[in-house]
Amino acid sequence: MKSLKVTLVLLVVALFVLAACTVPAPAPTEPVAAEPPAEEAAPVEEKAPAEEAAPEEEPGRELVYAERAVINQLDSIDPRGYPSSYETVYLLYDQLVRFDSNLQIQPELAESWEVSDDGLTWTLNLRDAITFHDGTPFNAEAVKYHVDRLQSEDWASPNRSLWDHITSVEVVDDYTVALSTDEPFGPMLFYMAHGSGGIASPAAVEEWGKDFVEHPVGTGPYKLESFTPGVEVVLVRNEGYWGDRPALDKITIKQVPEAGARVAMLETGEADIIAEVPPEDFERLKADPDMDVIQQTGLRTFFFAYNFDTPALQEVKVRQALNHAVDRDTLVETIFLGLAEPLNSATSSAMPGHVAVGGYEYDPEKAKALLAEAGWTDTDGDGIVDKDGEALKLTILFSDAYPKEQEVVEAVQLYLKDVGVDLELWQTDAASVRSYQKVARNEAEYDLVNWGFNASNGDITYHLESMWVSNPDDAAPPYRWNLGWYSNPELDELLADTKLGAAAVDSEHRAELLAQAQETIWNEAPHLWLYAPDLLAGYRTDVEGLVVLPTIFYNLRDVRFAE
Amino acid sequence: MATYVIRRAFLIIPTALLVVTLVFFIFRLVPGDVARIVAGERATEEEVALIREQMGLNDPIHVQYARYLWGLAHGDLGRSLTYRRQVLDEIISRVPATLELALAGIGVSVIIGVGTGIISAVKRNTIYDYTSMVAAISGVCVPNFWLGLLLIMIFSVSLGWLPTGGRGGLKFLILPTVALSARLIAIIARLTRSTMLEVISGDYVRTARAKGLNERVILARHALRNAMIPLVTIVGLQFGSLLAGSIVVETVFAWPGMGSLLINAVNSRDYPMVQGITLVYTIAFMVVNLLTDLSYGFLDPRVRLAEGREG
Repeated sequence: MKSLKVTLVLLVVALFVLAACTVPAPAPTEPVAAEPPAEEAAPVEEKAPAEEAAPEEEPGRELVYAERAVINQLDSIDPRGYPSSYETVYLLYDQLVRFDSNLQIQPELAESWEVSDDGLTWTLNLRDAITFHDGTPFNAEAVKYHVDRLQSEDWASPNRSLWDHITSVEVVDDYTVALSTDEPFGPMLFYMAHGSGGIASPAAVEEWGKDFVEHPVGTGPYKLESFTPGVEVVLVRNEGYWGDRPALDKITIKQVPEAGARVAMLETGEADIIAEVPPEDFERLKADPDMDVIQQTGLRTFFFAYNFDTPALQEVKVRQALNHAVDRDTLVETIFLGLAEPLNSATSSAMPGHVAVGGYEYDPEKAKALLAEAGWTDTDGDGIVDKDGEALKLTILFSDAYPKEQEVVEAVQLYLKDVGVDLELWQTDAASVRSYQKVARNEAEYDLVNWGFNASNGDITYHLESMWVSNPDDAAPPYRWNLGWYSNPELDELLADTKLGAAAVDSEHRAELLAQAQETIWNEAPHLWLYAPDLLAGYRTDVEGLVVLPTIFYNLRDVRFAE
Repeated sequence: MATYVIRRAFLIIPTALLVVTLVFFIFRLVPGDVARIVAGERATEEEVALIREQMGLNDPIHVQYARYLWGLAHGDLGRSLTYRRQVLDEIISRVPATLELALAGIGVSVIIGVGTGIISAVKRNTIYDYTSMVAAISGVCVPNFWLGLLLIMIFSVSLGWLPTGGRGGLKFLILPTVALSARLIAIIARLTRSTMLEVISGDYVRTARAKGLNERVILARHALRNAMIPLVTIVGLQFGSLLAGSIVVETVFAWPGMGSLLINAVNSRDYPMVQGITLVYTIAFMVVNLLTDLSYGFLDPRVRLAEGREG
């Protein structure tokens, strides 16, 4: 009897002792000790083609990056697993030009470029003596091959629309390539700096065919060692890199969907960089001497689009009234703990070309006055304004795709209630919400719809066009993101002028046009303007060189450990 | 006996087929256009339409169904819509991880559950008993993802004893197993306790005591073996619940098993993958139940004899 109990107790104790004995020191951040990578989970599958991992004499400097999204495919023309797949693509491939942290264009594979006098041809001078990870040479042919692939129907890249303004690619010589457009295309370089511009090895694409998505080959500072889709990607230094020697021996990108687990990994040192720190953990991580958080104003803007087929919303005073009814500053303070920017324009302040139009201060009285001017007053005393016997009841469509989405919608519901507007909530899940948004005009069942838009090529025209250029076809879903079916033909022309034509290439004139466009859009209020959340990246303090682009992506190309 | 096993094994096929069919049709009815998800946010309508065509989603639904069944008959579970791999290959690569977690979960649950239950039964109405039973209730009530995060906070972050997630050696297994088995330990403990109490007061135990047998022998040989039958039944039934729990636990601990694969597949509407994984879970559950039923023959001679008489 007694011995049975003792046996059981001993068993439990033994389990704990076993656990304690097999735990090594956690954080592999000591610079000198040659520590075996016991912390990393063993890759379940090795799918890289026969590539030797570089034999290490010196102690390994290995970095672990824990992010949220599932990385499925690593072909630069169609990286699947937004945004982390793009971040991985940044490491595997080089681009013709690249954004720096201020979204300014920097040369990369293209050393320099000229635009022809008529603005139609961009001639790029490429660097020479660069090879892909598979040893084949990088040259103008490779660039042509890449653009062709982006435009081909067979490869069906979802980024095709970012490249189809290019009507021809001419290989002038081995290291000179000429890209032509039909009309002068202002944001040409911004479009080329998009992640899909990572040049892939034509030889590797020929060899792997559609399987190239799991065997990416570029010219980038790191190359693929192993890829377990949905679990992790392991990259190693490209010893033959043409630029500065990459600082890290190995980078492991792990998918950790649970935010709490990511933060825990940073705290224990199991991860050196983590993505998407929740606002609640910001202060605590910043206060800790071993960790820090980058706070970067993001380009992604959140708002509710008004459906212009809802009679009440066709009146601009109503649209503006609702904008006055919401206290953006308090919303940002309370829900995002101040880690977001209340919008003062159709774009966030981090967008090149942003103009702070401002207005729509929080003023419920003004909101009610504007509603009254439009004929909406509370005649029957039920707390909801009405007109011609109809109460102002609006339905908003949203999901759980974005952090704090539900809190924001519920907060706005309360604000609107204060001014007598009844907001009904219609929530679906993230995977289905698009199928309710992307429908033909008469099938849209929402009065308002919430989502966030991020112009991942950093181009303001692209941002404005995507949401406010008229949809071409009522019988088809919105062409891009004009979910409210707003239409202003003058604005359409104005925006086209900022992109195509002579005006577009002249940056001062373009800036004027863009300011005009932003003012028009802001004042017409096709959206209930809300906020742009900050991008919060957590990292251990011995990590240097991490860049968080306003376009959401983390750039790890220059990351190194402090000496 | 052999015919019984074969008959039961064959029953797995129509049941699995039914489950797969249900999943197939439910997925087609649920909103969420997989072509659009695959095409991405920036795709135009033409691009989405093109991708839909390439995926064969424009064919009438019975054609898609027939195509799927034909593939199934040949051991082809289809190709994942998000990864480029064969569903079967991807699942096979994830099975070891889930198996490791599930076996550890059951093993720990049984050992600790039975142990706690026995102690509670023998030391009925003492402090051991009360503490165990309160802990058991908590185990059933506490949500496993919450428990998982709590364990990470205490044992990984604060104490630094164990890793926060991922798979590797033994120390990676501990926290996920605890989070997964909490509920089953609780159930087994309570069940063992009540069954043991019942059994201990039975005639044959009284006889054994009268014979002068050592108390420990009585417990282990006579009492426990009789308590095994309801125990084995419950474990078999709870296996399904354990699999369901493993899905959440795998996500919290970034454990690369079938559960996290399933979650990703559901979120990206990767039908073939979801169907494939559901099929595997169904078969696994049915096999476990078959083994459970077969084990009665070993545990309870009365069942064996009855079978013998029938056959």
